[in-house]
Amino acid sequence: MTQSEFVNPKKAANAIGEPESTSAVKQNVVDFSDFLDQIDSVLEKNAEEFVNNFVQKGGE
Amino acid sequence: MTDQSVRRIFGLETEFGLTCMSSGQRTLTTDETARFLFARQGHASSSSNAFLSNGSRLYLDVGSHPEYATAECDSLVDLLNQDRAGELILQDLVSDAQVAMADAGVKGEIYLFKNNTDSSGNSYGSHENYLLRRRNDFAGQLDSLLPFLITRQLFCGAGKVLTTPRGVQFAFSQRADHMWDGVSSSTTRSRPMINTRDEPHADSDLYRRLHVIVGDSNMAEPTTLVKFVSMDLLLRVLEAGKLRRDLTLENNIRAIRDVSHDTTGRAKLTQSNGRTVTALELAQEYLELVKNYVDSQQFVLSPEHIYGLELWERSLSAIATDNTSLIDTEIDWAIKQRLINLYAQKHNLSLDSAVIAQLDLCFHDTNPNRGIFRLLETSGQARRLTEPNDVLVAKTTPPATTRAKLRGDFIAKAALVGCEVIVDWTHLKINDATQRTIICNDPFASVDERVEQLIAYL
Repeated sequence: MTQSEFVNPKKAANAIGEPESTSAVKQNVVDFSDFLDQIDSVLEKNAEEFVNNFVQKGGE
Repeated sequence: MTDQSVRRIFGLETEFGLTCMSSGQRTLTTDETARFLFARQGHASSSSNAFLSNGSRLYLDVGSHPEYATAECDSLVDLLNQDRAGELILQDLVSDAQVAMADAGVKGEIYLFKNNTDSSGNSYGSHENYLLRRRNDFAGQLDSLLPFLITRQLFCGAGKVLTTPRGVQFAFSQRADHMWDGVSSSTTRSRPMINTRDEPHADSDLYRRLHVIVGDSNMAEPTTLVKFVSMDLLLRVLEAGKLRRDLTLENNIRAIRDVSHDTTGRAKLTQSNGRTVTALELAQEYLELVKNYVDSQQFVLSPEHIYGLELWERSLSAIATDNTSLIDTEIDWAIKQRLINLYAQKHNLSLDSAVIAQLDLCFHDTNPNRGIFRLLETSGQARRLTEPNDVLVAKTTPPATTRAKLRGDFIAKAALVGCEVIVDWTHLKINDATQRTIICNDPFASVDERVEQLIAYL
């Protein structure tokens, strides 16, 4: 048998469709400068301390 | 189609970075933050209480990292929904913890980062699980996967602003510099790319688990998808015995760093046979191998496999033609690099600025109102694949076509009737005088009469 399927066909119906053209996503490109403004409002002001104080223990 | 020879179980485990800050200062230790976070869950570190009604596992791992492990998924749509649901479940815990902290007069905001590094050189992981049919010669073939894992950073890397002895630069991967071995049974001491701890959570005569721990935690769903699609298809080549060429490298640990540090994809790698190839050439070789195999078998690919394969190819083209705009709404490192470049331009910042380091970190913040990647996604600058409603459902509902269904249904009914149960990946047990226990050894079985009876008994 050479024909096989990787997923349950009943799932394929509501699965991910064709990729959007990248240009569709990028119609927002003009909005990107607005987005950059938005970043300024969500980042904590003390950048250096914020980053340096993020200390974890190793995982796995 | 239910032919088990073509289905595969996938799982994804994510260790999150955790902190609690106010104005750049930590207001709680990580352990204290974790205690607030898991207060509702009770015995957070005890595995018995760690399974949820969506079939997943949520607990506090080594090093106070909240860890979420998706349930068994046999479709990558389910995997994306389950993985994303985990973030929402954790955000619910964060909201509750913030309320409890306010009541206790504790200042600060909890941050949960889906990343792999902190500011002082520690790393924590993203672990992929692939169920394989047991074959005798498999152990010998693991080495042939390493060059793939080393070069897949080109389309799977989460991106990182990296400080090296030669200065600050942008790199493909968060994890590359934290790898110290190719294949081994160790985890924390000498972290390998593939961990050989073989816990199939299934009939071990039939199955084994491939546990890949080299990956970056990905933010963009298309990046997570291409990571699993490429590995799934490559494993099919390997399982069919078609991965015969020796593509192994002379020094895996040096190679993974060299690949990560050269985002042109042109890092030169020395193969075991002495030949020199670039990272891009080696990555293309694996892609061609998979494409030829898929064509020769006339596989009917799922829509997500078709998209993942296309994105894999497009990512390598983007690097080959130095045109990252082909992938900078879908592949993490390219999304992050674009963002950082534009932000640095706007504010006239250099790459070694603290604000850029903060942007790099907060890209991985899972808070939907504050996390930079999630904001990019919401504003249409990064592609999302899951339907928000499906993810909401996946918070409480297990995948319908695997063993996760049995576990999830059992846990949901037990919670409904207030009965104490003990659950792990294979066991369902009622913790009363009867101690009735069912062992579910087939991860593909979503229907089991014994479990139905057990649920009815509850």
